[in-house]
Amino acid sequence: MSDETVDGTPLLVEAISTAYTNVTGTFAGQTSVQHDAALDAQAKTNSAVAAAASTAHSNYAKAGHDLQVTFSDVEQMSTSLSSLNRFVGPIVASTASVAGAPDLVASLLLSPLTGAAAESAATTAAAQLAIKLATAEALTLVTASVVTTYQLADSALSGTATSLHLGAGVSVAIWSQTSTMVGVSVRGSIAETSAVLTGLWTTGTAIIETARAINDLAVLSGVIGAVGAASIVDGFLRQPLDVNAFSLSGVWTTATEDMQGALGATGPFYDDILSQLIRDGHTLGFFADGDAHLGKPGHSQDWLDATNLNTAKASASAVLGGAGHFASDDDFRVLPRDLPSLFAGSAQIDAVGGDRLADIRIIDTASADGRATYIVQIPSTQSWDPRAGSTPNDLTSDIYAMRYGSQSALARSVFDAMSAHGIPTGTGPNAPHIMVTGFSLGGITAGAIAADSHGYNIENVVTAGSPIGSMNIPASVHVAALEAKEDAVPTLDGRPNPSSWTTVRQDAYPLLTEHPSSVMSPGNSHDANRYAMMASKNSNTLASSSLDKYFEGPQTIHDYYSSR
Amino acid sequence: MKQMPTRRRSGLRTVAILLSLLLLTGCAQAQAGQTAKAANSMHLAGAEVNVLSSSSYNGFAKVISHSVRIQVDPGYEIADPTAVVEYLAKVGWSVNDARPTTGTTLSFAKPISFDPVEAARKGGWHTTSGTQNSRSSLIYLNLKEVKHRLGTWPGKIPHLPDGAIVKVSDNEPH
Repeated sequence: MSDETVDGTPLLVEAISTAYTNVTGTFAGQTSVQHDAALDAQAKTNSAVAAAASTAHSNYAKAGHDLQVTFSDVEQMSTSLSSLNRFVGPIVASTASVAGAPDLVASLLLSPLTGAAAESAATTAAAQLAIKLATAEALTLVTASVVTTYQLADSALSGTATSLHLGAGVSVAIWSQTSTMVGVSVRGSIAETSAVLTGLWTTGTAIIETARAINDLAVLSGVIGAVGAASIVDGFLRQPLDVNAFSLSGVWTTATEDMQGALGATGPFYDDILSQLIRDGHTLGFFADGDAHLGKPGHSQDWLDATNLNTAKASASAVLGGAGHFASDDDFRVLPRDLPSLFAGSAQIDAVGGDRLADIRIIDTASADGRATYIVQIPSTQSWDPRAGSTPNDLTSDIYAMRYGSQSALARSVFDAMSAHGIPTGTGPNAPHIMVTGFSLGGITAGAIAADSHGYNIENVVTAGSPIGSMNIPASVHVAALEAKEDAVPTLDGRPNPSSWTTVRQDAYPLLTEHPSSVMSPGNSHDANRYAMMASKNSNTLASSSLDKYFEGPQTIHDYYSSR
Repeated sequence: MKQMPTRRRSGLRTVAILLSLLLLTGCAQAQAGQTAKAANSMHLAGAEVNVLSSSSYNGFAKVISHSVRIQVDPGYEIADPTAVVEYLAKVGWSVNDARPTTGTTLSFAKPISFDPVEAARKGGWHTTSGTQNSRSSLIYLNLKEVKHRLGTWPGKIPHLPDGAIVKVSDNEPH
């Protein structure tokens, strides 16, 4: 691997290094914990990282290069972060020792109120610093894992490709917990690289291309990981200094908002980053979206019955409580009578399709005005493997839908299903009412279809946990979007939804099968049943979206199955 | 530093990998239960039992469910519905391919001459709910209750009590 740095790379490294020097400086100047100063430093860190990523990418784009850094650059990042840890560690130790100091304990006897306050303050300070240390360590680990990947990539190119799994394991573990974005962009991709390398390195060109792709993916994921980890640090810092008021869910809320801001800071380069991701993925054999076709489900009716019933009952138990149930048809498919039951149907089509095929559900009824009415329900991501598999609702589709909108195989399958169902195109006075809806990828695809309707009269879009804020959906379409504050997925658009849409953005709701004080995080808040709960708690707000016409009258459900 | 012989290094590495695997798999404890494939190949006199498993994602969480369907052969009938409900529930809980994250659905192919919900309640299943269509009568056993009643997953491979499914002629009053 070359030791040269391309113009722009030093900017990135320098900016991150400077930002963390600022944080270090802030800590050094603190004789006590100064919350505002820490916040300010963290904000500088976030903006510096985001700006550096954007600037570096811009410079590369101008120079006709892809984003790259060398091993030594990444190592430098890791070193500067390790320095931060070394600095914060002793502060934690000294502050924590104050809380248990004999004099302080003795003072509790003399002046219980003052003593308790002092102990509380010291304990809080220790807790805060411990949190900072832990999160900084996580950040170091993220960066260090990128270094490891680089080292192993070098080795791979000289003959030990299989070792790459070791480096990837650390980063995937961290990223899985750190942010969805990282999980989406990198999870598995590096882990699978060794196998791909084995097949590709038969020619020198292939080796160079593969190395370049690994570089790009590693750097991209490293930057995203750094932003994600910085967001989490900020989430902790924005928590109140009172331990009793500390909320882990609140940390995630702040972190996901920061993630959205950081991604938004990439501006027009966001699409470039996605394009690069797809291009590099292709080099490694990933993200081959291809074509998908409608076909038979490949399951027995008994299996469909059991799976539909099982999923409906599980959703009812989680959303409605023990005795609750959703109305269903003779095949136990949930009839969407309101938004909670609509999202219970989302969980159902995901269970039926699994990682084999996409179950695209069309529910038709007649509205009071005599016009045909259709709900087109699109499944969510069912495979996180970067290699495109048989089902078109997978990680590949996520990335394609975010970059190319309705050009994904899944979106094309939805149009095929609408055509096969006989839904007419046209927007005249007798045109049918059409709602497109989905959870996660289903919502992304729904938004993309509304933005490029192929002549269909899309009147409503209903999404849950979907990043659609940047989609160019016509103003005539009513959009209702549910977003949990702890859920990182809806923030991947890098911007809030237009104010003309009905956006419900709230804390994720614990399911009725969970303890009411369960901590909500990016890992568990992205859940169709939680969004069903959110819908049920906001029926008044969502009533303004004119959705009743889809939920009234006799409904007929049709499932269309698509696979690559 | 003195280099270890390649063969010895390789042997140590193998031992380390094996030890790691043992730790990761719970100190080499034998896995109980049975695979869905094994469950489906079990022979039951007078009936066919199938495990219908599904695997999907709800967000980032894997959703695994095991449903169990029974179809009684012509000339046979279920003489002890409560015992059969218990047996089928245990079959579902014994499937060790993946830990279920939802409750268990039991499906009884029609025709049947009893109410599965009533049979389950008689056997002590309190949260059971049921439904039916033209093909089957189904009940859903809540995951929490399944865990509570059947204990650690995966459960042992169950045996259907004698007399639970009988030939129609055997069950007729003499």
